[in-house]
This record gives sequence, structure tokens and C-alpha cells, in this order.
Amino acid sequence: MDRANRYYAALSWGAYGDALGMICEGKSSAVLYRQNSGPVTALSAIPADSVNAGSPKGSLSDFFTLLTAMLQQMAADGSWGVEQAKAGALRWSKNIRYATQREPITQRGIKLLSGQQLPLTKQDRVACFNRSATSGGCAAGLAVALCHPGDSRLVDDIITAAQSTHPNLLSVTGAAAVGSALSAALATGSRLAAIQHGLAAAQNGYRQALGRLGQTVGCERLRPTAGPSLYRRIQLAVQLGNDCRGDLDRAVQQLGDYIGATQQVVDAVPAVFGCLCAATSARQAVQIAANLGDDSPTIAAITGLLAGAVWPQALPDTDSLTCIERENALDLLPLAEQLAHLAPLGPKEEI
Amino acid sequence: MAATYDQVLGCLLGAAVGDAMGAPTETRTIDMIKHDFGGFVTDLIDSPLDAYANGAPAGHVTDDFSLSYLTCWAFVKDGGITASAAHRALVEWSHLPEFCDPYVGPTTLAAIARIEAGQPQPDIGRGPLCDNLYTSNGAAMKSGPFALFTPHSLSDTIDGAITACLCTHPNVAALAGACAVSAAVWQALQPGASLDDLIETGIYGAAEGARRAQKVAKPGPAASYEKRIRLAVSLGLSHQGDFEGALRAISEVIGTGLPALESVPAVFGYIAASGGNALQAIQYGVNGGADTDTVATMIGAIMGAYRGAGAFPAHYIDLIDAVNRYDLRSLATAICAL
Repeated sequence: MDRANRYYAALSWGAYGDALGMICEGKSSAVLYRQNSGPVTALSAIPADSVNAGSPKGSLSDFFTLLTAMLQQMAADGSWGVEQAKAGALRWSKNIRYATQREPITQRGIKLLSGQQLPLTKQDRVACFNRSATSGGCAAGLAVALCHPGDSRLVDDIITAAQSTHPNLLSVTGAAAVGSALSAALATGSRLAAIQHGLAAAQNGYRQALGRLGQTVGCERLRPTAGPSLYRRIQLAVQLGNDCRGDLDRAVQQLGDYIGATQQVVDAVPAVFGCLCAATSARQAVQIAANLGDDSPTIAAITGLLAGAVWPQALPDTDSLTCIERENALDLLPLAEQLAHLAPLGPKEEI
Repeated sequence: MAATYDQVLGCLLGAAVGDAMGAPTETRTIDMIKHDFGGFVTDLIDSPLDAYANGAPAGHVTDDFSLSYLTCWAFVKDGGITASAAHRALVEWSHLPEFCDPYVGPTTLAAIARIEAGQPQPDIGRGPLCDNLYTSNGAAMKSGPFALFTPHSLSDTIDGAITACLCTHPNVAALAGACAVSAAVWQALQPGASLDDLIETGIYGAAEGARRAQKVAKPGPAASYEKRIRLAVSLGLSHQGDFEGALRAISEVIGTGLPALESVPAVFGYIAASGGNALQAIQYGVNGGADTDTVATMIGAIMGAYRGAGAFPAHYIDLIDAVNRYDLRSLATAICAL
């Protein structure tokens, strides 16, 4: 399988997952199943009772558009790194279309990157600001992972990039987990390798990030956050997903009941791994993720990136991809080719 | 059957002790607690400056119990649980800077503004069909002692929790969490109740509370209380006798944070781990990290009702009364007189 094709499949399924998730966002699985007489399985108009009502069919959320903005910056510069992630984020923030969608912590990170002085709040005074541990930091981490050679510096570089918008322990650990998984999937096409690397990064990345507490990247120091263990929750999600392999409805129920699908990184990232384990195709993986509801665009986008790298043989249907690209002014194939060219070839070191 | 004075006082005292003991450790990780306090916290101590409690003295409660205390007195005045009493208590609380200012968040402020404008309930017919906001444990944190007003009926207890919390948390998941805690307290008041009964009734309370809340609050995506509570309980049971093992297992897998679907299941997990020791159960909550005061106050309400006031060190009640300017004994007497 040609590298560029694998990258294109990852981006395509990531975009498709995000767009499918936009239909389901904010709702519960029970409501989705009731309204659609079953799971949502294809792109359609966004319902009037949705949190995204008014957005046209094929619209992408803040997550995937932020990710592609960072990737476009990296491709344009011919270089990847935290400066490209920051520049891409700032460029993205100027697009008012996504102004109302921005996840609050990403919003805050963007303001700091642009040099705004934010008033001090009680969250700045306390030991940990735990609600800041959201999944938005995964965007920068995934962007770096897509371009990185995947050597022993991968986790460290992901943490640095993710810290630029989400300077907290759990967010950067989550980014490390999904970024390492994506890097492994792109290199090997193996679901097992993706999970192994994701778990290892959840553990090692947490320890590395602990050692970097207090260090500043961009505008803020890395702060501790208290919450569940990403490693243990990914373990649980993998087990649940494996137990439901191939059964979309049961996977939606079990992952939703035990893991959840909120914006918090300790829910979102394990849910991604659970969806990946439960599925037998990229399409099924993003369908499971989207039907979890809640923060479905982010979860389905990340799931789609991983699943596309694992199962690059089949792509989303042409009409859907065309709709998504048109609606969001994207051209994924040349972007994928640029990124595949950017990422250095070479053996991946074992983590 | 009516609750005994000892059970009522135990519930109030347990909730206050949990809240006050957890205030210094709030937001921290387990490792930070061990490091910053020289080991696990097992007594009432002063809060550090980097806790929301911001240097408060030992025994000082946070928003959790202060809201519960005022609301209970308002219920006493009304002769039982009423929405208007809950609203009055919330407004009164908002004028107490030592209990309100360090903790109040935007959703509570919005609720207070609606009450003062004469429209206490948000319009659930407006906006998107589902709501994934308001899913915090802010309803569950205060709801334990509300069961003291409905000891004769589990059904009334569930309705009471919804009535009392709807204004601030018009969300099915949040209200279901409140019903779980209230229901467990109700069960703790019943003669001959076992720990198993508390847990099963808590699970029932969450399910039945969610069903009833669908009629008055917005639905929203949520994990399963039953599955998470059962998982938390199995983790607690498998680490009985191993304080740190149980602490970490439940904190790492279930979570102990602001979301009701983390902290409420964690409550039942820690209760299972404690084997019925009220003070130890609270100490689990205090040291589990993240939203420690809230997990501990919920545990304290349940276990205090279960074991009575005598389960706690004798000097705790006078310390808490003095520091917060409360009179828990009078409140317990007034509730029993209803």
C-alpha cells in the first residue's frame, strides 16, 4: 500500500467521521436510535433539533478543521513542529465560521497564543484545573504524529505540540496516546500495533509529562490535572471493544455505558480505542463513534484517522467526500500527498 | 417509619465532615495529596491557599454542605421539600460570600438570576433537543440530607431530590445522580438495612430518577449509572483492606471528578471498599483526588445516616458548628419534629 494512499485514507475517514459526528453531536445514543429507527450510518442534513442546527450537510467541527489548518501549515512550511501547530491554530482562529464551535479550552489556548492577556480566575490559583483536561489537545498531537518519523522523540514532540493549546497533564497524555497510535497505524497498517503504541504512550507519556510539569511552551506552563488514568481506561475500552467485535449496536451501548463520549480527554480517547477495537472496517469504526453522541465529531474524527490508516483499502463514498471538501474548502488528496512526502521514511523504533 | 434523631444527626454530620475534610485536598491528584500533606488526610485540617477553600480553617465546609444546610432549614420552614424553599435557600446562600464566592460557577449564577427574575425553571422546550451541559455533581452533592424529609417513602425521596435540584441542574443525568444519593440515604434510614441494600437502592434511585426526570428536564448523553456503580463496587470489594489499592483502582478507572457519572459511582465504590466503616469511607473520598469534598460529602451523608452520629469523633460536631456558625443538633431536632 502506497504511503500517500494510507495517509489519504486516514484523512478521508477522519473527515467523514467528524462530519457524521456533527449530525449526532450532543445527543444520547438512545435519542439517535429512536429518531433514526437505528444508528446513524450515512451523511445527511443536520437536524433542526441538533446543537449544530443551521450547519449544512458535510460541515466539519472545530476539531477536524483545526487539525487540517495545522497540517496545511506544516505542508506549506515543509516542516512540522510546535511552531507550525501554533501558526495553523492562529490562522484557523481567524475563520469566524468556527467561532461559535470552539471548545472552551481551545478557545482559551488560542487567545493566549495570540498574545491576549487573560484575567486571572480562581482556576489559575488552585492546584489543578481539572475541567481543562479536554480532548481538543489531540489535534496538535495528531498533526505532529502525521508528519513525525515516529522515533523515540515522538511522544515528547507530541506533548510539546499539544501543550501549546492544552497545557495540562491529561490533555497532553491523551494526545500522546492517539498520536502514537496513529503513527504506528500509518507505519504498519496494524490495529494491534496502534493499540499497543497507544497504551504504551498513555503510560510513558503520562510519566514524561509529569517530568515536564511547570515547563512553559508558548504562553503557559504545563499544569497537573487530576482524573482517571488514561492507561487504565483505554485498557477497559479495548476489552469492551474486543468483546463487541463486529456488533455495532452492542459496541455503541457498551462503550457509551461504561466509557462515555464527553469532551473530557479521559472519556474521548478511551472511546476512540474502544471503537477501533470493536470495528471490522473503517466505516463501522466511525459509525460506532458517531452514534455514541455527545462529543461525537471529535471522537469519530480521531477514530476515523486511526481506522483509515488501518483499513485504507476502502474510502468513504465519493459523494460524501466531495460534499465535505466543498463545504469546508478542503482538498484532502494533495494534502495527504504532501504529508506523506514530509514524513521521513525509515524504520520505526519500538517504544 | 421515621428516622431516629441519631440517624438524622449522623447524616447531617457525616455530610459536613466529608465536605470539610475534603476541602483541603480538592482538585489534587492522589500523589499530590500524599506529597503535599505528608501522607493521606484522615482528619479535619486547615485548607492550603491553592485549594478553592483558600486557607479556610479546619472544619470549614464548602459550597456542598453549606447549600445543603441552608436548604434543609428552608425545608423545615416549609414543612417539607418544596421548590420555592430550594430557591429561597439558593438566593440566601448567594449572599454569603465565604460559602459562595470561592465556589460558585456560571450555571449556579444563572439559576440564581432566573430565580430573582421570577422564572426559576429554564425553558427546556427551547434550544437543542438534548443537553450535555449541567451534568456535574452539583445536584448530587447537596441531595443526601434531603432524604431526611421523606423517610416514609422512597418514591417521595426521589421526587424530592428532583424538586430540590431541578432549578440548578435541569438535566436528566445530573438529577439521576442526585436521586441515587438521596435514595441511598433513604435506605440507610430503614431498619435492618445492609450495605448491599444501600448500593442496590442507590442504583434503583438513579434509574427511577432518570425516568421521572425525563418529564421535567432535558435528556442528554450519559454513561450508565448502574454499570459504573457496579464496576466501582467490584473494584472496591476486590481491594477491601487495601486502602491505597482501592483508592487508586476506583479513582483511575471510574474517576472522582466533577461529572456526576464519575463521582456518584465512586461514592458507592468507596463505600463498598470501606466495608461499612463510616469514617474510613469518608477518608477514601477525601484522598481519591479531584472533587474530593463532593465525593466525601455524599459518602458522609449516606454513611452518617447508616451508622449514626456516634460513628464520628465526638469533637467534630462542635468544631464544625463553631467554624461555620451552624447548629446541627437543632436542625436534626427540627427535622425529626416534622
